[in-house]
Amino acid sequence: MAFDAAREEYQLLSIRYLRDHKLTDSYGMAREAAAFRRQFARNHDALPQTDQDRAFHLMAQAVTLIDNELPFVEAEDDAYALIQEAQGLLSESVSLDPGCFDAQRALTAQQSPTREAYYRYLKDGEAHTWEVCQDRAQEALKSSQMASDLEARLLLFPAYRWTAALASHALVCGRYSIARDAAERLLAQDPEDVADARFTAALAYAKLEDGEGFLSLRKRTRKAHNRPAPDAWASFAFMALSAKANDYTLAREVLHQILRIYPHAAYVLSQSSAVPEGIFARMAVEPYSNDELVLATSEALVLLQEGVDLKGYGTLGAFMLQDPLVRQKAEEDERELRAMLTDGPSPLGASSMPEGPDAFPQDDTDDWGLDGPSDLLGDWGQSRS
Amino acid sequence: MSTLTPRTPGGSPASPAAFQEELAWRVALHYKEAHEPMSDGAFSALLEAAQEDLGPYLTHPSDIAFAKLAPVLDSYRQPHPEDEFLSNEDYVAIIAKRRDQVLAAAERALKIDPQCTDALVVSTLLQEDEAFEVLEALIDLEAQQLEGQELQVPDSGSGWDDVFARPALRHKAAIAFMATEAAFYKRALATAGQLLDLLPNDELGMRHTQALAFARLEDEAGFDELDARFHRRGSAWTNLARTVMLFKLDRMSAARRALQGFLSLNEGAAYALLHPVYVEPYLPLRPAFVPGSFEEVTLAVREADPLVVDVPEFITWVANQPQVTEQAASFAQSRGYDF
Repeated sequence: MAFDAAREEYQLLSIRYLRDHKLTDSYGMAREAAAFRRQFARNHDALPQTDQDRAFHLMAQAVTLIDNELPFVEAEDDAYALIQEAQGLLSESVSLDPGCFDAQRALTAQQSPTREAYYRYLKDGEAHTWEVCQDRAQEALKSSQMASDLEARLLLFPAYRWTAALASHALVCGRYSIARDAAERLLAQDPEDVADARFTAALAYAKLEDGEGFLSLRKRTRKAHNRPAPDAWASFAFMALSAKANDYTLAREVLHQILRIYPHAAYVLSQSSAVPEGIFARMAVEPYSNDELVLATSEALVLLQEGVDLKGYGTLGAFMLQDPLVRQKAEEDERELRAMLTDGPSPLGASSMPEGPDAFPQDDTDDWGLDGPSDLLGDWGQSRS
Repeated sequence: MSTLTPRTPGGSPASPAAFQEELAWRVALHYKEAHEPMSDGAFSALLEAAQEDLGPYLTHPSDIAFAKLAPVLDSYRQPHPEDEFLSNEDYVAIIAKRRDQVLAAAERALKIDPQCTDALVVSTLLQEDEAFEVLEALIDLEAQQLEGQELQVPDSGSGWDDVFARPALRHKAAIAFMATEAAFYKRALATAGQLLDLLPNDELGMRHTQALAFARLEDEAGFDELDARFHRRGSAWTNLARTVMLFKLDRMSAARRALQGFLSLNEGAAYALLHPVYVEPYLPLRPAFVPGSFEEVTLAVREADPLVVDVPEFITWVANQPQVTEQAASFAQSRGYDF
């Protein structure tokens, strides 16, 4: 589902605005909604807002600069200037509202000399963040104003993002139990999983070689909104667990499934690049898009690159790259992508179209044999034998 | 001349001539089989004679094959301190040469006995394939070699006492090592665990392999149980594994204490961790080492590499602990190593 700072700010301010105008009839609502949209776009400062709202707005601007613009800036001077601007906005944000935890977190992320330092900050600050956010959410609910439920939910989002960041940083730092526990805490709090914590959880279970834990996670989360087929994170985790249980046939099936769900998948897998993390939250991408696979592959590198191997790809990386279908498709993808660069986009040929997520409905059918006996249980489900 | 049959066959892996000692035992036992009945005194005399000169007694094809390989495997396992002073080029050449010698000896052994387990195992290990492929090949090979039979714990209590079972035990140990290399940690745990059941005295050092796997899987209960099972006798492996595990569990004061334990146990431990050296692949077992030595800790650091790579800030943290870089530097200086 993913977070989007601008959209979230829009939602919060629209609630503020509609309450301010004390509307009740639907014609009035529609007219005022249009007015709100115009004002949001053209005269933002004049909208009714608290200091907390202003702080959020400044933070949203800052993280948009860092996450959406900075990756594309080439000149070092320009990058430096952009970072300075973002830091200015973030500093102003926290002085307006020290409880703007997204801004606090973003400032620290920018300034932390090491991953370890940022991890430590996230770990130490988690309880306080939740306390404050939950207080604010309670306040909103108690007011019983219009849309207070939605507002309360939005006010918890900074805490969700904090814990989600903790989970993903713990994973990268090699702290898998901590990553798993943080992700599971989020899932317990928010069964809708707006933070997509199940993605990080899947990777953590795979790193812990916990087949039982992974399958339990899948059973609990597979019927998520807009997710007709297994996502790439779950697929990587399942592929890894299968290979480690010496079931290469199953691992290969899952790998080939990824190729059928995601466009130009083979090319992405063969590149296995790391992309910068979003400072606000995981970057919002279209489900089952090429971008999503790029993101998932980057996060899954901790899983794919482990193990000693001759060329530095890791055990699972090498397994993927050696697969004949991956190699064949990667070559096809590369030709197609080059052609698109020179000739411009053209309709994808029938042979290169992925089947896409609808070919793998996971609501009705039992995807990956979850309800039956699994190769992943038995010996490998126990931690000691 | 001894009148008692030596009860426990020699050839402990710690011995520098482990394979050749084992060979002498095999030869003597085969000869005894063919010349029963034989008194204990006669067997002792036979064994001594075989240890002196195998020639007259070396008739069984499996022993003739093993004889091609045993001296080469013993030689490969010896430390080569002179390597440290070779140029990079010369070093690369000499390790390639050693590997070629092992491969050639294995080929000679297989010509005589195509089922020679040790020859098959080292040939597989020397394939230029990915760790997980070598692992798979070793697992398939084991299934073929065992043909559905299980290794049995003999009445005397240790599987190591049966010299003829040792090749299969070494094969299993090779699987445990490769599983760790391939980052298949539960496989490594399970295989090492089977060997610990077969070898209660842990002649093959599988508790070290289990310690690393438990640490990587953040299984503190398993780690502790293992530690207790071996009476909390630490080693470079268990101390390093414990430190990494506690770091991963974010128990930083305990990790600092564990690190101190690691640093104090082996000579040059700080240097070994901050300046990892190349360790030649095990063919199929760890090289001979003296407990507490620098050589031992270099092996532990090498085997722990897949774990440490997963914890990117670990080494930086180690280097920032008090006295660590000083210890490493002074060790390097004392040995004339680069730092």
